[in-house]
Amino acid sequence: MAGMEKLKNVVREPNVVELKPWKSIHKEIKEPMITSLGGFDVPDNVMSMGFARITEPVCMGSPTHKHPHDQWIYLIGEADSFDKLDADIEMTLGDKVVKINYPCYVFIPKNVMHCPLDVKRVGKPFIFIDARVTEEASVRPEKVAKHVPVKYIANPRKKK
Amino acid sequence: MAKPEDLGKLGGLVKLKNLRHESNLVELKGWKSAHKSISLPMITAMGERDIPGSQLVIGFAYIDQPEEKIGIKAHIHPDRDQWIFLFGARDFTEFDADVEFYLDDEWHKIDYPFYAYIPKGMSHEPLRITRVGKPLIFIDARVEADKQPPVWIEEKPRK
Repeated sequence: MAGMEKLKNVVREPNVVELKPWKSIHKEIKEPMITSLGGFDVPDNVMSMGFARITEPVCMGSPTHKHPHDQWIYLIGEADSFDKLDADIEMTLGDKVVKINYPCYVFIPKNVMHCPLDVKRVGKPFIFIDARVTEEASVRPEKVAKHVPVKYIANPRKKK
Repeated sequence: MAKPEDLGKLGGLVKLKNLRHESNLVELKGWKSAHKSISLPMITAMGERDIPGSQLVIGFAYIDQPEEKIGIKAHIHPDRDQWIFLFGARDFTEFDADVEFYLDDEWHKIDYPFYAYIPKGMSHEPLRITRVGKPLIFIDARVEADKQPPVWIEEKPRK
């Protein structure tokens, strides 16, 4: 992946951005990533999103951290089977570690501690997506503020 | 090809049974696209319908054959932004397809992996995929639900 150390997306037309390949910071991610860079690509664009193909175990996002913007992590099967995930993953979220072995996403509200995301086993390659919005856009509707603060509860399916 | 009446089926999102395992962790369940050309299951994160406070709504589809119209008819969202991504399914940066996308009152020909940032008030769609050499991933994302309904407009002809 020589020459892919820096991301050089190209704005081909107003608001249309060509996604250029670049190299992950993780040596275990061997294939080029693509990433939309929000306001760095197009002014006022509040969302950034990165895509990587995971083919072997890798630990990402260490150490546990938080930030002042909302983030979402998607862990989904390859394109012809988005709804299947053959992998074992552990992720720190809030004050617990969640175990994941199904296609999913994790919503990480601003200021919630999270990561590392530890991919323990990869049965079949899958797609990892990291999406975030700017701090300014991480403002939830007024009605949501009335919800009881989230609690990290046990998987209800395991209570049977 | 989807028909205008299929648009109402987007309300079929309620049939999508994502499963909330933990407060902020949602299992993505497969469901069927309104487009016949999209034959394999889609997945969609439904934002606040899944998790209160989670504003990102995003759908993923696998495109392996041409589709005359994704998005049905040109329109504007008066009060929210949207993003459309289209890139290679196996190798993200490999793009072997021909696409025409109506954006900001013009048709654009696109033959490279891309995303389009569609700020509120900008006309967009349909998206025409006229040739698929190698399969693609299509993504439709928005950060908030519409507070106002979309405004439908007439497309200008291709130049």
